Amino acid sequence: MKNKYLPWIFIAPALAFFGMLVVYPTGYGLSLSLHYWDGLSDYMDFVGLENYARLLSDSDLHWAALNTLIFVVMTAFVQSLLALFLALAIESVRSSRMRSFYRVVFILPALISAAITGLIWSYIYNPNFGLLNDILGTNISWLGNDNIALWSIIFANFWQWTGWNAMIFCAGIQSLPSETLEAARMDGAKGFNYFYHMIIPLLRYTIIVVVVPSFINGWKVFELIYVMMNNAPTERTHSIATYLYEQITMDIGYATAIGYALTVFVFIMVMFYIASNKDLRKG
Amino acid sequence: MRDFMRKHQLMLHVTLMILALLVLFPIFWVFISSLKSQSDFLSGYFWPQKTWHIENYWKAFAGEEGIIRYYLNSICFTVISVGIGLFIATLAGYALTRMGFKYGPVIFMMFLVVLMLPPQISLVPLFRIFQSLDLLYTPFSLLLPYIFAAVPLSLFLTYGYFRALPKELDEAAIMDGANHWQIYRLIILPISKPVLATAVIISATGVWNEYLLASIFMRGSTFETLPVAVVRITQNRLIPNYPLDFATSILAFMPLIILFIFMQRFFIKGISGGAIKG
Repeated sequence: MKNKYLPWIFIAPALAFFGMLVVYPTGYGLSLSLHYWDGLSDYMDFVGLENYARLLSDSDLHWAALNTLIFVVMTAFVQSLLALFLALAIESVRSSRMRSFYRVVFILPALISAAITGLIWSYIYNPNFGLLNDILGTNISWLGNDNIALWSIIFANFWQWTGWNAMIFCAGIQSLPSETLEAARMDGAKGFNYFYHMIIPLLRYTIIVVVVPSFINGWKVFELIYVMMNNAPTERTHSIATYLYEQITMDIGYATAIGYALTVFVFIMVMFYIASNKDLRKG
Repeated sequence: MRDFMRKHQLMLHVTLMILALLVLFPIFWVFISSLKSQSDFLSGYFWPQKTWHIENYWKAFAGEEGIIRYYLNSICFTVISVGIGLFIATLAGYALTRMGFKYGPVIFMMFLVVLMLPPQISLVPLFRIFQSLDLLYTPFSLLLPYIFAAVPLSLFLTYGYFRALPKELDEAAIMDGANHWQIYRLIILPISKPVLATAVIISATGVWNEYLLASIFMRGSTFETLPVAVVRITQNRLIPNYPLDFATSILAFMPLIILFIFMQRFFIKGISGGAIKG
């Protein structure tokens, strides 16, 4: 039974893919980010760190970063909080049949492709025949007006993902030790105190499982915006990922540099978040 | 909070029903609209006038710009990549958690970092790699990344679950003369059904819905996948036909909803057992 090579054999396929699809492309991309390359010519011009310096002075990118930041704050934090309330509500339902009914209903939108969700919501928001204007009796161009377009996109994301996150919270709530909660209730813990001092600390690990992926995916948001804006986001609706995608056709080196800067930034933020959490460091 | 809600079941149901309506109504609108003619739709009536155009679905599925072929493509891509990906991930998960392997946590962390990479940065390198291997516009250029895409996520889910299973299971099996392959296949996999169901749903959803890579590596080719085809067809119609667009969209997401309804019993158990308690 003792064979020190055996674990490596079991892991080998996963590591082979990791090398081929992560290590090699990442290294190759890193070298691309140090070049100017239009993608067509055979010649790549070495520019050193110039692409990274350009990140700091590109005002279009700064707009995209601001838009993405708003998107992330709304979807990773506000949306997760809403999901927690929704989960608490669902888990307080007494009838177990209704509980499973709600769980299924609220998760459905998450199964739809982000691209198709974008398509459907671009019809819902349409100023001529859209559902939303019909209901409200208004004539607003929800995606055409630069001041509200980003919020319309964020709302569509709420519609799609709040239920999914609520479902993960439901699973977390089900695994809470009922004796502890019972004891706290006996001691008179109620309302906000009960929520803030009992539920939140006990759900710490679940909160990480919800917030960290939403946070990461928020920074990467692409299809939803790209399709909803009909392949042409504006200054006020570009995300970092859609802006990067547009840059690919002009300067691959610069586009790759944007991607690297984004990855490093997200990685550092996530590590900070995880390191500041005692339970995770232990385990 | 929960206490308060327990006392007010009726209010709770009303609130949840309103929210459920808010979630379902857009889908319902898409469904009703998919049964109208274009002129009905533009005239602004909520219900179809005169007839219900059920034939829209047939047109969207097998008509001139039907999606039947892309359906088959997406089914093949999803089944193959989720199957192989899950096998690779569970094999690695087993080795990392149940073989006394000291690099387990390090390798696990390495795979977690992959989840953070925005897919756009590997786009150009992958494009170049597949170009030089002559694999561009062949199914392999999507299959390889898709297989791998299923790995870190499934590993993330199964790692915690496998680790929490009692060690006595393996010890008893070793006593009976089983080797690691047999323990993996005959003991660990069968008792991990809930978390495997979760991994299947999450990775199948990811592959079925993937847009970015498919739109670049497969656009307009014979092997185009469903989301790319739907967006291309609906955005490029010469004569707009919104009801047909809706029917096409519904056909595109229906299979996942059916898959989910079949597996949802395991699903909730899986997330609580795998990701949360682990």
